[in-house]
Amino acid sequence: MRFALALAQTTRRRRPRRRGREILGGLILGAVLVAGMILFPEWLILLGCAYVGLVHVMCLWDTDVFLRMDDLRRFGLERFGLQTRLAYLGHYAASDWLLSHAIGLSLFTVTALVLDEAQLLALVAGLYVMALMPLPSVVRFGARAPARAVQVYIVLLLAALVGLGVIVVQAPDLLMDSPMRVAGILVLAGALQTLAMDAIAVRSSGSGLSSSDARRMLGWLVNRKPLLYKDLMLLWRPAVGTLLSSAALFALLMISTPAAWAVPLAVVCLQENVFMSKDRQGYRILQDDHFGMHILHADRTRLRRHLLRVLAIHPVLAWSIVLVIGLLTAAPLIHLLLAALVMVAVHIVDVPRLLADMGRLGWWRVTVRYTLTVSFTLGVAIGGAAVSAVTVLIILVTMLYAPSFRAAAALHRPHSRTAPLRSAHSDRMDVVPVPEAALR
Amino acid sequence: MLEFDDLSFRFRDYLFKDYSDRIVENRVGIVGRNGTGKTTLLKLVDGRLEPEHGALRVSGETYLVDYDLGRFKHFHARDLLSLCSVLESFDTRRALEYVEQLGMTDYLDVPVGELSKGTAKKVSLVMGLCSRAEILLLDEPFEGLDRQSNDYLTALLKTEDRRCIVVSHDLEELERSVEAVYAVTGRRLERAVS
Repeated sequence: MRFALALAQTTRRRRPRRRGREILGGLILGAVLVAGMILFPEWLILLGCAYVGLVHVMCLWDTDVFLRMDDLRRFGLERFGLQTRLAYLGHYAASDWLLSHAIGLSLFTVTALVLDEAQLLALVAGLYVMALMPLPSVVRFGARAPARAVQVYIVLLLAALVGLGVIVVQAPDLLMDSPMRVAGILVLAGALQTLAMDAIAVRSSGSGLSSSDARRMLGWLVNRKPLLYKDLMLLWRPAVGTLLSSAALFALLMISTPAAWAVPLAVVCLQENVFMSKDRQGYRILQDDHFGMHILHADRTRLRRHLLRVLAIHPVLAWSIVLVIGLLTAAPLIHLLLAALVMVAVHIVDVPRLLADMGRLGWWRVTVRYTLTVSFTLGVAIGGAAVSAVTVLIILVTMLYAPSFRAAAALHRPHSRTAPLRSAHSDRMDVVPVPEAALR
Repeated sequence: MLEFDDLSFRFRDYLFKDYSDRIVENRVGIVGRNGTGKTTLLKLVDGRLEPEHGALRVSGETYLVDYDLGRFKHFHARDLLSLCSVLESFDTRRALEYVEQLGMTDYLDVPVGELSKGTAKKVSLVMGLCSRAEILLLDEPFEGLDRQSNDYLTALLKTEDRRCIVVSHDLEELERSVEAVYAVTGRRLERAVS
């Protein structure tokens, strides 16, 4: 923390402080927040998010207000860990904005307590965290990501704001039903945004998505559970990343979503079949040797089983969510049945893909798959009738399964380019054991 | 250790053709010009390649030291040794001795992907030395290693009761570390140095 304060003191000297302007800014901010709380609290959310968006957009380019990428390099803060974020918070707090924010937030807090609107404090706190925590990531993103990615980011921000505006106008109760819930969504959104921007920025820098952060998180496993550590590290991107992002997205969607949407959304979020994740042109689950080294047959089996167990976490979690949410809905049996059918179908349709691995079908498969899954979701949510949902489900299975099956069948015709899997080393040894003495 | 029974193998041209022979030495070196089939021979011994015709019989489990640790580039050497320690295929009791003798102590906690080529090769060699496989297959183990490490490796191969097949262009190092050196020439193996 001492480092963070020293950093803040150094960087704030970039501009001379203007106390009058700071105090005036704080009073205006406090007045806006108080007026928003009293007159139109749902618009307060939109206003706050617009402010956060403005701050983030400003961070994409070099300004005097925020740390630049050069500053981060100068202070050795390129590795974006907790220290970087604390340092950035220290900088932000010690900059001109400190007094303004202190005054504005104090006014808002006192008024909220007097008017017994303490829940709105959580909302503002959520906004504050969402504004500050991703800032270093946004700076790096702006410095490293290609121009098109920056444009896309800004467009997405605007789209999100427009979407929020639509909700404010059309269904304000959805937002203000529970400010605590909205604050939770905001913090989650900030966390997701941070993760996404870090990933994009690092990838665009040409070094690839590093697993060094994953290693730091999983480091304690190295000596205690080396096999689990290995599987999680090697599966970090295709499986663990999918699992975490799916769960986060699901939580994000569910927090403010009617219970009737629960199961379909769970299916959408968790439909990705991690068993089909690929590595080096091969499906992990089929690869001859996940470890990639020469090992005894017993170890080979052990590694394979361990990998299966790790991968199995994904569907287990999915089913748990579906089960819990399904039990909370008005018609749990129907939802559970539908969810079960869809998830089974999702896994079934991947079996031919596993055999076929047809690159030409890949793009269409993804498009059709998601389109139909979304259709299914909408069918359930809007139509509400089990019959319509089942119809969509049948279409889904038929359209996805049929071309895959054809592709798989095509592979079994003569002149296939697919080579058979090479026999395992230990299997070969079972076939040709020759005693040493016999050779002498 | 090896028995070639009318073995033939080719990619475009034959590398081995109707070759029958026995190699009974426990520590064997292989030399030969580029493209003659030295590495291919190791892969045949290891079972990664199948003969086109005939058979190659090996009298024990083999471990071909794989220098490509690309998949494990985010793992530290310590992570890999820790992983090996829980597998029956490896005996890591002497791992730290190997690490120390090969001058890798300072690199145990560095991601493999950030190691120099020689140091990363040492990680693979340590794992190979820890392998419980009866026959160690080493492809150019001396290339890219410092003098001290090469000395330790040759001494280790010579003194340990461990069967091995070593492919190298460095005849001097081979003579110091193995019982017999064979040359791949004319689609067969011929004794080069005794």
